[in-house]
Amino acid sequence: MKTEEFIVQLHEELELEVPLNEDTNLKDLEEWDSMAAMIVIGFVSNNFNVILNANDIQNITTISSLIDRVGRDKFN
Amino acid sequence: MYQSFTGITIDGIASCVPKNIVSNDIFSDLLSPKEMKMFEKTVGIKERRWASDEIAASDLGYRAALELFADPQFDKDKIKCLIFVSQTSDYKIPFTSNILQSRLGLASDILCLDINAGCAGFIQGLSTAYATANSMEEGSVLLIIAETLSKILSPDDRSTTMLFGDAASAIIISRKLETSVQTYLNFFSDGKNHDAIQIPEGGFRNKAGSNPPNLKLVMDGSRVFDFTLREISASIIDLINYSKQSIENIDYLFLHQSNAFIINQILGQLGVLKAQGPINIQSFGNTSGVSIPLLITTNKDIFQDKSVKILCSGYGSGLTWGNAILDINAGTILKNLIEY
Repeated sequence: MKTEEFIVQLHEELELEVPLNEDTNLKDLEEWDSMAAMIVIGFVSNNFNVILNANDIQNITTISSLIDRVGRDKFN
Repeated sequence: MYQSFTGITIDGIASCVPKNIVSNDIFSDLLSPKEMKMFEKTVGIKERRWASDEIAASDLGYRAALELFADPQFDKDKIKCLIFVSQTSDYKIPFTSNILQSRLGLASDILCLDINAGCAGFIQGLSTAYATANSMEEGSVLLIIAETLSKILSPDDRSTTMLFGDAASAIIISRKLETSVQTYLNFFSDGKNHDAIQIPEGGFRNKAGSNPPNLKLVMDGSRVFDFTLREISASIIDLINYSKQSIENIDYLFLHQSNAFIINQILGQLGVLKAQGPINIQSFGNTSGVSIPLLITTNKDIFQDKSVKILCSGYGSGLTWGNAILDINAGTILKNLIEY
């Protein structure tokens, strides 16, 4: 998956009203809550086989930092 | 801890839920419409059953047990052990199983035990029931799991109040000399995280506490969430290895109904099909230790006229988690769900 596709699909999963890009801080989104975190964990787990934990969720800020945590090498 | 049993079977299961259906609509003050949509999409709960003020958990358990005894196959006089698993028992003193012995009209030469256990309560109760049945010359064990968690929820705590429902199941277990059916169980505990799911006051540790005392359930959702995603599938694989079987031998996985997202993640981690992991959380919420036998009741068609190998996994307060691999054979009496 390319990072662009990742962002588009995550945008759909989270049903966001505002656009999403690598610099968007997830924590600043009006929609960000524990259920949105669950959707992010599920999306990452299903697509990359990486299981984010509560610490990861706490540390992740921007989409870029989420991609770093998943591992940039996993994107093509 | 790992256990194996030979020739112990579940002879019947009946489950009872309160009549009163509580849909998500009543929580509209706690969640916006969009948050509600996400809650239903992730956690998966659309409604749950809450008992009215005058119905205690043991009343639901009593009804479930009566439903079993209505079947001519079961004889009350053969029950020589009654185990009651609950966190919402009738009194602090005495223990509820002894009260149920009399209400159900069971014989007086009987061992009555209460177990205070949460979401792993079915597996913990099963371990105790199987071990007891294994040591009995004759007779059966009646295991009743009953919860009315609605009575310990704080109505404005959005991290708990929407999650839990009330229910009870009654299960009869006995030793069968003529069968060699094998059952395997394993258990794990992490007591250092005991405060991740807790009623902080009202016991004898913090009996003074605040005024008024905090007698409602408090949950650190992210800690519980993390633990289930980290520990459960690994513990299931451990039990499958211990039983010298492979996951392909398991027909269905009956996972504790805590959260649809978590259930699907665990199924995914194990590489099994979603269809192998039945779900009823949409209708009943998290009913703690009752959730697995309630799930068996609402999926009783799976077991029609054949022996089915299932893996059950319970996980929650303690923190504690445990699994069981067992056979529900064609002769097991599975009653339709009843309401009270």
